[in-house]
Amino acid sequence: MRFDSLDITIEGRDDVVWIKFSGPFHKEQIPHIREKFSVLLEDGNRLFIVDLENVTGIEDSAVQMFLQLLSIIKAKNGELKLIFKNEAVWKVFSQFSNLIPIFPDASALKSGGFLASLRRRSEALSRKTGIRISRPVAIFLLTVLCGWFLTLVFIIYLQNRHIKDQQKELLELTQWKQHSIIEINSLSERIKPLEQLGILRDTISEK
Amino acid sequence: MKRDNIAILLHPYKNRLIPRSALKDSVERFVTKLLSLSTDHPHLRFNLVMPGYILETVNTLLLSSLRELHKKGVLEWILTGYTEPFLSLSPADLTKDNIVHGMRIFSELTGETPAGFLPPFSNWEPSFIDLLRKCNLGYAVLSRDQLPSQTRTSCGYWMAEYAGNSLPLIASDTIYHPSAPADFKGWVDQIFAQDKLENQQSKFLTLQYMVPLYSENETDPFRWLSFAASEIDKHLLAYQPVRFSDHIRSTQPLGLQYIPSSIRLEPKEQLDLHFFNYLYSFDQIGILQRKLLEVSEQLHSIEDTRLTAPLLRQLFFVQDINRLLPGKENGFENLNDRLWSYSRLIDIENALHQYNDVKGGQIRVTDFLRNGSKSIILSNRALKAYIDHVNGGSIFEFDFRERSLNLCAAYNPSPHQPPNITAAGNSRTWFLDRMLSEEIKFSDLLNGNYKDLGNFMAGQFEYKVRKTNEGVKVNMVRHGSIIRGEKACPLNLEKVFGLEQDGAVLSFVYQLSNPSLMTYSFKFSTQLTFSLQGLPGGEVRMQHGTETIEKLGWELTGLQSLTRWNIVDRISGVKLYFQTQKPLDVCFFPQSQSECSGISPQGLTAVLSCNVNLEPSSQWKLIGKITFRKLRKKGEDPDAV
Repeated sequence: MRFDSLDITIEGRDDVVWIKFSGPFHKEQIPHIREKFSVLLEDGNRLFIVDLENVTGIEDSAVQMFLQLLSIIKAKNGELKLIFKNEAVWKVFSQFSNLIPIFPDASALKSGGFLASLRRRSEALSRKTGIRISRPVAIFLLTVLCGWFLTLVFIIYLQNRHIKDQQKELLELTQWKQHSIIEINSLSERIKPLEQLGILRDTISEK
Repeated sequence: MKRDNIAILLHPYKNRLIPRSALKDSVERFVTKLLSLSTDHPHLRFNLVMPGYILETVNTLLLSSLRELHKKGVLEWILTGYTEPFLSLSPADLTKDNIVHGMRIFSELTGETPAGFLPPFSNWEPSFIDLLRKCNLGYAVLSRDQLPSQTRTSCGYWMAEYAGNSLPLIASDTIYHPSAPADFKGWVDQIFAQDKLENQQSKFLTLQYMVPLYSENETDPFRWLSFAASEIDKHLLAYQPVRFSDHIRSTQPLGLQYIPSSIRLEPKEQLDLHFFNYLYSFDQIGILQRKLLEVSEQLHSIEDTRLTAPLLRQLFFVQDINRLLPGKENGFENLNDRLWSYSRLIDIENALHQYNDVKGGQIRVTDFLRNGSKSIILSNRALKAYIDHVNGGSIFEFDFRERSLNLCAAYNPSPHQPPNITAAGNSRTWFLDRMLSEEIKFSDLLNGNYKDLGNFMAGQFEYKVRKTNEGVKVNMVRHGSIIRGEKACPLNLEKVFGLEQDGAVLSFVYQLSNPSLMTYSFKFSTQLTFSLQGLPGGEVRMQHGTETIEKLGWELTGLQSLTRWNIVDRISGVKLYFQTQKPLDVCFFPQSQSECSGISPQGLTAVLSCNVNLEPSSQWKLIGKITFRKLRKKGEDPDAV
């Protein structure tokens, strides 16, 4: 019977309810699964981890159900995480991977932090794009990128230093210019009486 | 002069449950006699079949003598596996592991790998030819009766073929020492004379001699063997004793044979190709097999071989064919053997439960019985209950995990038709609910003089599973009916089973609702049958208040208005405390001899009953619980392997 073909295991591990599904996940089962979640929520459970690794086939409508469940659980301050890495399930969930927390296996759940989220993201991207890069190639590419970045920073640093030097020189020249103007003005003032007496000829105006 | 070949195949077999020390003694006695026989008759050649675990019991001195015999070309080893796997009933992966482990044990202990394979009871599965070839087993030995009647009398070997794979197949004539022929030469000549094939090659006969490891009468099985050896020696010019490999190397097969999946439980019995139907007409064998399949699947899904290797070794013993066939001295009909098999499976499940670090209970909704409908399995660290919500919402298996004991493994010896693993009402399950007339007495219940007014015992229940901090439970509801006069009137039954966190407590709740405008009066009864090892010896007793009733289950015992009582079995090492909110009448049935057909009583049947008066649109509720406690166990393991 299609509505009864999925095996379900519900167990508790450290305040988290683990629900494992195995077998084909048909849309006829959705009301039953939804009812089971609502009973579990009624019973005060808030943290759920759903293992779909052994699901042999799944229909699109199941994803909608999980999205609805996620919003219901989040509204009750709960959490819903999915575990799987099998292709059949991933095909259906791939476009919603940003909405539902998906982990490849139980060990990935335990390792938290930036690196873990980076790894999850990379795995998700890898599945989405179909591109897989081996570790040595990834390290080589990272080194080249870092090299480029460092060279760029060094060039910027050199340019910056050069500009600063020029600014300093410009300032010095401007100051020297002003100083010189003042000095010239004072010297002009001093020789002005000699010019008026006709002792000195005004060579500048002649030019 | 052309000599005909005779191969002597010695087959020591465990004809009953034997503790390890006794098994070791009898195996060593067997090997000593075999060595002495080969010394007395140096021309004889032996083919020896035994499982790996029996070979493990032979001491190193005797093993080195057997090695010498093999080096001299006197002996050839034949394998059944590490144990004797039931090919048709066991998962293929497990059987493969069993055979591979058996090969490894033989290599380590004898320095040689076995040359051929013999499935006990000629339990043949043609699909295994490929596996046997991959394991470098050169041939298989089956009973001559497995061959089609047209070729049964031919004296030679065949090529068994299936799906493009083939393997030499040797047909053997089985001899048990009580019925062994007195005129050896006459018997051999008669078999050779029946062969009408125009064949230029030497004729070939395999004499499979069964040597029981536990001898009940005083006749020594080696006496006839010694006589047969003297006869062969006497007629050495007519008969040449050979090992199987020698014969296969030197002669051509007679032709091809397709042998279908089959088993031979009794010698000369008609071949039954539908033997599974026979097995599944009994209770328990199916449940044992389903549990074996499930545990095997779980073990094979774990990659950590350090954990799984010792557990798989235990599982090899459970898949042994001797445990999974009906029999008085061993097999699933034997209560001790059945409970032993369950205990091994429960031990493995406990290890897996610990490995998975499950806390506070687990609910599984799975097709455990593999019949297309789901069973609900509630479990915690101490208990495990298997509930069939399709057939009356009863518990068909109940494991007290802390004691490695299946308390719901009592079985009904009368086969049921059509074949099915459990039959509602016939199988000895827990919480079989009946609505009876108020006048029914205990004796009527015992004699079956009653009519079930309700339709709940075999009816389908709708269910909801719940998991809370307090534990796990299942709520089952059936909108059924009860017969009043000639009419069926509506009656609803809600049934709840729960396990409390990791404690050894099974709680149950019954709620009857009357949705009609009529008043119902009837007797509600529920029946439970416990499998207790102390029952055959009268070691089970009941205590309530200061009163103690000894030898429970030996005669009809009825007590009225009880709310607390307990059942104690020191042989199994278990105590069951019953506690109910409402007073109940409790009745224990004796096991009738006719039902037991000569075998030990198969279970303690208890019926809990109470008169119910349901006003229109009203409810009646019964709350109770059973607490399980471990006691010091008096009984010993009957088969410590």
